[in-house]
Amino acid sequence: MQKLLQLFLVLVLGTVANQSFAALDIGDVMVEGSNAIAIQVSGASGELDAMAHQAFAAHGAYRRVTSGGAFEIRFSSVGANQVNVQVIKGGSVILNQNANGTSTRNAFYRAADAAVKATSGLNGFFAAKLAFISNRTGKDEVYVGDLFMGEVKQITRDNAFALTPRWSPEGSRLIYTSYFKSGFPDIYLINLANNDRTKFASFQGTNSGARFSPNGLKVAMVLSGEGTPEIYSAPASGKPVSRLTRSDAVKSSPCFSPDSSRIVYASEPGPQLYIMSASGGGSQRVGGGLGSYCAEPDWSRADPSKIAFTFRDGSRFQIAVLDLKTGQSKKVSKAVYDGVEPNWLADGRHLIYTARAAGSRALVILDTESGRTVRLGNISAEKASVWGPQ
Amino acid sequence: MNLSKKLFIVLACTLVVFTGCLKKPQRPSVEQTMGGQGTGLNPSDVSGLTDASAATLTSRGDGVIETEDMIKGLLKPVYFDFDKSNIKEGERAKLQAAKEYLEQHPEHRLLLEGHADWRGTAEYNLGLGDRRANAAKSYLGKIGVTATKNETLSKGSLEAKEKGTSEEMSNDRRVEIIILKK
Repeated sequence: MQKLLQLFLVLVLGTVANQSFAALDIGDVMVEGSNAIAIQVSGASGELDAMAHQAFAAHGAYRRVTSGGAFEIRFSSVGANQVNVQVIKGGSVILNQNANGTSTRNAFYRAADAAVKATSGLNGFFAAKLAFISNRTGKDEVYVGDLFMGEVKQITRDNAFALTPRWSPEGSRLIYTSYFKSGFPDIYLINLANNDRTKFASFQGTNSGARFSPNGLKVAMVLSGEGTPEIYSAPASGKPVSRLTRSDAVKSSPCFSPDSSRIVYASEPGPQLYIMSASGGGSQRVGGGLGSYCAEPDWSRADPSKIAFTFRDGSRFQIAVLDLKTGQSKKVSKAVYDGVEPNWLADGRHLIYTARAAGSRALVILDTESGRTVRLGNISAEKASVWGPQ
Repeated sequence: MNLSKKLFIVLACTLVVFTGCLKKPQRPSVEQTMGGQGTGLNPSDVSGLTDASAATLTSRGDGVIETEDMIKGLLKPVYFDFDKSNIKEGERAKLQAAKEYLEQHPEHRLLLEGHADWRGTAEYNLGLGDRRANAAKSYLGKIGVTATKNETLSKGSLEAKEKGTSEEMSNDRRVEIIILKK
């Protein structure tokens, strides 16, 4: 049942401050469903107030009002790296909590996540971390930052192509593909605590698409060392490597199920999506017949029945969600150019993706239920993955 | 000498055989499983779950190719159709020319560098570039060029031109044939 009351398409061309993005007209899609929760948000300082409005404007379960909301959510700084949140309903305080973080900004996001849980029942995701590729220096490098692209740190300075940095489940390492040093695509593991980098897979051919299993025991990846790009897995130590697929078709983007027992991946022809056991064996085609090109699956850990993926939609690309309970897929993004590279957030409802146009890349957050889409930060960013919050 | 401009390539090919069962189990290919089950997941249909086969992969060596040891542009690139990796009839003369070049310069080798246009998705395009490079290598093998004379490399859509015409985009669907002097 379509319950949308209002739909505003706000073109942000000309309002994006960063000149490097002047060419990209992404378009925030501000949608408010009739079931969005009306809230009044405020921060005791200008900084907290701005962050509170930015965060809740990006959350599709809420609409911000100036009076008469179902909840009033107030943030205040109560100490170094500590933020208090009060949630008031009908005059009585239903939540009064101090959240600690690695900074005031991080503490705010943790406090806001507590407020989301208290008012909607959904898992909070504001305190998530991103790893992504940016070419802001002119070369592709790996960066990490918070969900709203604050506290961004440049991790690599390799002056080499790099792809898909993905978090280890505990959030201390990144596994990614780089042409660093060898000039060929190899898989590396970065320890974020000391920026130590080790080679994870370096076989003849292409080594790419590495992802940890949610239980941290395995890594799935794509290797072409035996001819065709096939799906392989290895223990987190890197050896021994096991081949999981065998056919004359290009495979890409393996992603584990939340319980680490299965893997979804894309394969020619098409490509289309397939699911197999994490130890290999027969593959089952999935996807619900949406489009001739389905790729880049991301299996939600919060809702194991949902897989987000990229599909060709006419001459463009958009994000869809496959519901494993019904077997049906549904288009969820309204990217002005392309929407690619989806990654679920912790509530199993929102995801981030790359808004892509010729020469431009930006990350956006999408509520797959209401369609609300908001750009994250204003630096060029793509090929992202999400960690946490935990 | 600028380190960042160096390309490394295999000098010593160490055959690494990882442990596992030697008997490779038969399992249905993707093509065989494609037709049915188009809608949704039916876990009871998943079969043969236990036996991941042994992998025979060759590790990349630590050898180096200096930029000055590469000759680009002398041999013409092989072009491909959209989302395809077969060598078109009209492109075969370019691989024949590469073969003849190697016969005249037996000390040289080739780097077959696969590319894709920027449409599609980055990870799949990496696979497509890989497949194109291997299609060129395989064709060279068929006309008598020893496999050890070619190295393959996929750059996927990483170097693709994004603000071009459709003709410029079709130029991205190619395999560059780069001569390696060592």
